[in-house]
Amino acid sequence: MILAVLAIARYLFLHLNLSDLMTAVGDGFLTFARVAILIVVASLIWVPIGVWIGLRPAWSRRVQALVQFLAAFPANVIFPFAVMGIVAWRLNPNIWLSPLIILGTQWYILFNVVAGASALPNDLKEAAGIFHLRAWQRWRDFILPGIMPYYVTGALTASGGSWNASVVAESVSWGHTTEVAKGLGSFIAEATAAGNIPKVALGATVMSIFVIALNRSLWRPLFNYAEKNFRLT
Amino acid sequence: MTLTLEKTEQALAPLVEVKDLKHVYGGGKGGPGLVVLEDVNLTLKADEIVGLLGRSGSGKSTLLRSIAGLITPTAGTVSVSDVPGDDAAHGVAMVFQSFALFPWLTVQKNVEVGLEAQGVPADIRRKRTLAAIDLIGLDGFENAYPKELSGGMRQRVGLARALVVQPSVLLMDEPFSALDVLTAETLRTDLLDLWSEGRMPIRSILLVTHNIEEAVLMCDRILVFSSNPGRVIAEIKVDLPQPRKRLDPAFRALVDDIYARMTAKPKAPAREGHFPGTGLGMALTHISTNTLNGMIETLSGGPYNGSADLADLARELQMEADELLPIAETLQLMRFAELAGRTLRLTAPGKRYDSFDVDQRKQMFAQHLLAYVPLAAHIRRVLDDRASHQAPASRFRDELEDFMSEAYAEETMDSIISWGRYGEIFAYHEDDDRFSLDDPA
Repeated sequence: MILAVLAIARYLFLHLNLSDLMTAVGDGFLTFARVAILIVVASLIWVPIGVWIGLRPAWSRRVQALVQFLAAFPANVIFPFAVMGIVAWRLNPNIWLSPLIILGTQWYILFNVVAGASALPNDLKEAAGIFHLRAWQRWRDFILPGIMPYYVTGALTASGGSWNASVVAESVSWGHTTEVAKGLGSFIAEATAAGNIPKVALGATVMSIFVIALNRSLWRPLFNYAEKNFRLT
Repeated sequence: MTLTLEKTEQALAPLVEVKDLKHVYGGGKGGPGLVVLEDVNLTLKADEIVGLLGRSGSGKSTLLRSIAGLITPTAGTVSVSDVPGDDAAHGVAMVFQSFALFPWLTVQKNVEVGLEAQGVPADIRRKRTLAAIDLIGLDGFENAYPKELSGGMRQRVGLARALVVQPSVLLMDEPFSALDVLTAETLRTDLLDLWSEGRMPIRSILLVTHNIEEAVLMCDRILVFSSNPGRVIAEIKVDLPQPRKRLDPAFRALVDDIYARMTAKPKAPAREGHFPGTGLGMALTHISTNTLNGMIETLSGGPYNGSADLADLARELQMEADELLPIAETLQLMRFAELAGRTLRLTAPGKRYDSFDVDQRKQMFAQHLLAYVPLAAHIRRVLDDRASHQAPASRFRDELEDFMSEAYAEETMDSIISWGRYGEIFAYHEDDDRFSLDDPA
């Protein structure tokens, strides 16, 4: 492992200069911002919907199948429509290409939340009902803690997947038109198109470091916290 | 003069009134559904503890949930009213068998939940919560989480949470049956003390239980439920003075009397015995084949020689009498024994079964299972018909859910899987939840 890292580092050192590294890291932060914002937006949309579905068993069964289909569907085949839209309305690709990175991965949030909400125990639902918990109190004291371990799993998976999706989502072509959003994904995509192997290796390495660092510093502690405090048994 | 009249009226005004209640599970498409409650009438007045006593499947929990407003009954009316005049007690609150505490909230927060929902200001909320915690003997545990507490302490939290909202009626759903014997007895005594001293801010208690002694120990009035469907078969007033002693002959006589009423055969001689539902819709209780074999052997051996009083059996096996009933009824369903009143008697096939060796027993068990348990025959028929000789278990589970609740369907499936395996009439594969006719040999 260490040898491999050293080998890559030596290779990159020989073929690239410092400014390439700075660009890759800076682009990494842009992509990070994009992923973070979109995970938040997708959560705001899918957590309430997922809970609504999960609390209705008849719906959950039907929706789970649909969501699994959507998760398996290759999202990049609809990317060109975004390009057409951006060209037609002269939109800023830095903003309007962003939603594409979560197009295929948002479903992990949805189906984990559905699973979490349908696993909420019946006796707690009855307790919440008989003591007439108010809307906000019901979310804060019952639903959100109850689905937390599931939600974290979904958000973690969606975040990891979105980083990878950025490679195809931040630089999208349709015919002769190519729209680019500045970020680590487009950095890798352009290096790949140009056949610049050292830059591809640099981009991939930086991305891996970002993803691992996020897992270590954010997702794993969050997951452990949720498992410890919000376990139902 | 008018004053006395008002007072009597106040005491007589019902807190809860249930009229012609009926509840049907499932139904809808296909199946007729399982009638869990029928023709139920109930009046609950101030200053009484009323017990709803019945076996599992008698719909008593469904009745409690209808009163709590958690279930909308299929037909009939439920009305809950407060004692007229100046009385802080209001509405209903419930204590659950499983405690139903929020695991991520501390004891204090769990107790406070209902008050916050009512919009009680924070300082008053805190004061009332601490008072309830104190009343129920939980002081010192305010900041503990439920998982740090024993079952008994958890149920105290459940009780404090219900009392703090000052309900007019306290609904209790098998509140002591998840606790060990000693803890349960302590909690019962504490509750009765608080009640008789009038220290709880409530007007009456409705207690669901399957434990006859518990009902006689605590209640002023007991409604005995039949199963299949749930109906009130008797209303018994308990006049024994509190505190009641289990060894008091009058107490024993009353327990025995209720016991006899509960085991009495229904007038229509339904051969399925007490099992709720008939045909495919029969809800089965999961009794292991070891237990069934053990019971047959005990019955056939001395001193019983094939026939025993259930109460004697219970004493010898150190079981609660009502734990014994499902075993006896399963034997009756399979025609290995007959239940008449309180006497369990081996049938001729039951005696023959007892004399057999393991392989012969399995064979005979298989025959009886296919002949008398419609679900077993149904699964076997489907497997025989299919070229692949296999079928997903979910198919049968779905069919059952047309007749009964999910939980009963689950237990019925567990029973049929374990009995089917013992009789080797089919195989079940847990990994992919599937039945087959494979012979592992």
